[in-house]
Amino acid sequence: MVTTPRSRLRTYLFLEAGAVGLGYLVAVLREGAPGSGGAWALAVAGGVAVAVPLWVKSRRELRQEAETRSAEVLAIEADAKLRLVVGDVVTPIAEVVGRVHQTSGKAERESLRGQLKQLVVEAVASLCDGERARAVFFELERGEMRAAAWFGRGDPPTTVFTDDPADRRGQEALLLVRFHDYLLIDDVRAEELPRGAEPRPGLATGRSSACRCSAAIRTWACCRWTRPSPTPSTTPT
Amino acid sequence: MMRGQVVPEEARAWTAGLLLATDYFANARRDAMAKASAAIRGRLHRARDASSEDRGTAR
Repeated sequence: MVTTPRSRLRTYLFLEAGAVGLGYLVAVLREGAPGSGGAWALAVAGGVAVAVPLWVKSRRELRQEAETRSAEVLAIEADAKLRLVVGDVVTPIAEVVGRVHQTSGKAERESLRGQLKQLVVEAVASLCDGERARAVFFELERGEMRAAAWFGRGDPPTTVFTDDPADRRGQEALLLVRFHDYLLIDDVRAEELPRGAEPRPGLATGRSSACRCSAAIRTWACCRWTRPSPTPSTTPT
Repeated sequence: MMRGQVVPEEARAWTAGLLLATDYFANARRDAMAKASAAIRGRLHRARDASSEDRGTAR
């Protein structure tokens, strides 16, 4: 969370209002207090006429300051995200990719590949802006996709996507891989789901659930992230 | 002159499996936020100083 230092604008505005009010009182009372009801009414009307532009100006300045601060917070968040993605995710993962290609032993290469899959799901789950994010890396082998690495769950994922005519959901997932498509569902309860995919009740709590599936020729990864809410949510995977 | 490691020690520990992803990303997020905050505020201050100097020379 970004914290911004307290501004002195409110203090300045308060001092300004006090000085203007004092100046107006001095101007009105310089030659004695108003003697009649009409004179008092005139003095009060003058006070209102002085206060209104002062109030409007203060509001405008406070609004401008709030806008500046929110722009500053957005800029800090964007910069932090960029630093996180480039410096703390892409660079270490790229180093492991380099090691996979540099190593000569087949066993070591396979080990690094497995490590790489795990790093990717950890990074994906950690970069999703949500609570209790999960990420699963599915590997396609002989027409079936099985979970090869996962993060954010205690039990291993049991879902297997196949091309079986009875596995409509699996066919949809394999089509994503075949056509190199991605799928993003912001809210699995409110939006239309792919054929065969059904919301699974009681899996997680969250007002908004999302499933992003990114497809590649041999691999398919899916991550889901939720925001806390009192109502139960569901997921298609 | 600036010199440093391309992949910091913490990141190496994470990729080697010596550091939990949750711990690594919690620290990384905090560091990134602190660096971004310093960088953006520094840039804003420099821009503010530059604009006030411009106003001063224009008089």
